[in-house]
Amino acid sequence: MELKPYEIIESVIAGARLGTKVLDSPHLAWLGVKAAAPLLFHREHRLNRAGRFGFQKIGSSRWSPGELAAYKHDCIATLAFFQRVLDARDGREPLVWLGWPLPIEVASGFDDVAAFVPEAFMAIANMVGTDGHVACLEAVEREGISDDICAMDRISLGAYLLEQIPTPAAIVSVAHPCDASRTTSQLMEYISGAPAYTIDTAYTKEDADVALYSKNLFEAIAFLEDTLGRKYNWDKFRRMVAVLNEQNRYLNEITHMNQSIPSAGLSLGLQTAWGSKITGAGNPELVKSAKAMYNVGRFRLRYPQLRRKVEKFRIIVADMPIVFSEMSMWIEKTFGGVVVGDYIGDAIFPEIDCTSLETMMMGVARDRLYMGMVKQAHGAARETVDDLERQIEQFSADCVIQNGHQGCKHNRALQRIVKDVCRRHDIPILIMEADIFDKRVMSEAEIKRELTNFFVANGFAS
Amino acid sequence: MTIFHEIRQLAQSTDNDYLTRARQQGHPTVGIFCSYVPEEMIHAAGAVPYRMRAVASEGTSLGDTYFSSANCSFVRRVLDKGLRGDFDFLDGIVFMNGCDHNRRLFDNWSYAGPDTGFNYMLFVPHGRSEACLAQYGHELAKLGRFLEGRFGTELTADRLRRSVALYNRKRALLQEIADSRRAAVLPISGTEFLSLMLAVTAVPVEDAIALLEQVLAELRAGRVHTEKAVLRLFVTGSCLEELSHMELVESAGAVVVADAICLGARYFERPVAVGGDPMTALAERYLRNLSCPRMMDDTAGRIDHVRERVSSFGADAVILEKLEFCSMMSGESYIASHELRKVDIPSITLTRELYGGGVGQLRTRIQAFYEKVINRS
Repeated sequence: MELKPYEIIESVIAGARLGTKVLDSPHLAWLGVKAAAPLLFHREHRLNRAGRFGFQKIGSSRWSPGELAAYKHDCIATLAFFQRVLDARDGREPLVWLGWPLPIEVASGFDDVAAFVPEAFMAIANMVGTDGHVACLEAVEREGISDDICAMDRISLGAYLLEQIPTPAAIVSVAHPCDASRTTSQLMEYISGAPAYTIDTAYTKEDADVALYSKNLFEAIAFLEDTLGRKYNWDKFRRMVAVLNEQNRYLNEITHMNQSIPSAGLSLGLQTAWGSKITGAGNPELVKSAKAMYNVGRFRLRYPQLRRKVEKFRIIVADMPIVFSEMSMWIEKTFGGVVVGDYIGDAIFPEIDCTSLETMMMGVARDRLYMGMVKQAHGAARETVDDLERQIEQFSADCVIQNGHQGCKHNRALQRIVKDVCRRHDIPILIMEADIFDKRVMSEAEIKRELTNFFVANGFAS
Repeated sequence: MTIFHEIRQLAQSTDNDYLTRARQQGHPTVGIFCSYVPEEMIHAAGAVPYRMRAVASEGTSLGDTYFSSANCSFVRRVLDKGLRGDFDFLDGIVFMNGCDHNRRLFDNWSYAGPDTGFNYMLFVPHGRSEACLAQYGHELAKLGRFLEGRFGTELTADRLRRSVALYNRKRALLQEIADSRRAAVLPISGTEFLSLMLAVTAVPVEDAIALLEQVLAELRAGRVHTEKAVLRLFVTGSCLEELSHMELVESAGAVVVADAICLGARYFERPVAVGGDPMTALAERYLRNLSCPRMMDDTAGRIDHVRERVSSFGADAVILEKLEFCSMMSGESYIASHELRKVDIPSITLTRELYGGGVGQLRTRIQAFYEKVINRS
């Protein structure tokens, strides 16, 4: 696939613009999506390539009008975020790259700086069809960079090599959550030549470690002020933290709702919130999105009989979900299995103490340590294992699926421990050998076949 | 038996008589991983630091029940050895978060529970800034308190200074031997030097010094290994402990004259500063010594170091050694090979499994690379 410069971001902007308009009438949109489902649901082909990812992002025709209405606010936030990136490309303001686990507030707290997260391409490259991921990966392969590095990071690198991302004025890197991000940060700095500041994040969630992280965040802001010659707006930071607190309260509640039997069925929405937070934390639109989703959950808990029809068994995805094609809605429609929890949508964010800038920065640092994927991947195995134990118990899971993402070496190294956790809880686990971003490793059809075999073998389907 | 035969024997075995003797004298053995664990602290606590290794490994079948096929062969082999009881002579292990595979080795080791005493995880920052140095100092203080409690001793400044003096002596001797390879006539091969590194990281420091003094005496007496090397090589990378691999690299007429590997220059370069607070000096030296790719803010420093050493050791080419599934070296080898090309230094990245197969393929690649380098000059 040949990509024109900035084609992916322009597709995202076009999609977000369309979403903002269409989802203004969520019931009409719901009807439209239902009508389009036969063409888009089962597999990607030549005719649906450009639109299928967008279709999956809005629930693959399984979402209610309420969920679609919530997603409209994500579209507005997405549009604002990517439009600024293109503005920066056109020289209107400097662009700062941040490693995805970092609080974006470090850069978005400036009035006149565009913040960007190159790893966003892990998801958005699909906006031009799943070959978008492959195009980015192939660009990296042509450069001779080894595929030992996680595909998520290679996709960001490839996007830069293919002129999908503007060159930054500065980079803030982070030593989280894995070797791949550590080495890719170095590669990005090397290839772009931009001045960089590296944050060494906490290894535990203890106060002393979080304090170091917080101190590093202050230093990163000072680095950006020096490098860009601009002043950070601390009032804006305060406002963003207040917004974040509000968003977190809703997300935490929604996570609780998913623990009910039957669940509120909102894990895909929580995954979306995870992605939106990376690029847009502090944006009031994300509070509106979370609040709308929360209202959907309340309604469903009030009328559980509606959910009972679709929820035959409950699944924990002890991993990042497959990104190149959304699986949870397919599982729900085909088998009646509901993904009630996963590694990224599970929101258990602590309230941020807003009494001073120091407590707020500590809170923001801690917030990102509780963010999915960082929450489990940093520090010792107990961070992952305790999380899985808690999820299995709290969400009353019937089975666990691990996609076995090739890039997550730390996660792959825990397969025995994770299997034993499931054995202790007497529930089956499927560990696949997929790459969640690279369909060439294991295709959508192969993944569906493995899932089907697993559900049949364990009596969840016949 | 010559000193080099003894060194070779020590390099190829897991346990040895020196460790047995030390244990009989009341000095427990503590395994360590990576070059960011200050051996001086373990020594000052009355124990013998022992560099963990996969030599004499029988495979990965037991290790594979914990790790996946996407994890590196070093950790799979070491865990395998642990589960087979090869390390039962240890009284404890200090792990560190060198890479994702290594930090999970701590988790799997703790979970599987081989009979190797305590398991301690030292978290080392991924940068060299002042904030990172302060954090590392804090982590070392925690390690110190742990060792004191474990061995019922006190890590006083005087004890630490005595240990620092011994390890500095060991480093100086290794440095002198390494520097002898700057000469046109090489007194020692890369394989022999790797053997030496394996040996002296597996015995008490006092014995290591004695062994190194014997080796140095032989070198000073005019030992000649290679009159004139066809090719002089610089090797950089991460985990490299297989003598067979080094022999393969050197078998086609080339000699490794210098390196930047964990069982090499990263271990012995730069002494610990003396005179001030020993804990501060240890933190400074270990965090800011010749770095490995896990350190995110020193990429340029590592490349500069390779360039400088290639020049000062008269190396003709660079081999970038990488274990399969090592993300860190994947990025590093890309940057290093591009930077070396800019200054006309040929390089090749060799990807391998630790003690793995594919020798024929590797040999072909190595020979083709040598021919290319020789033909260009």
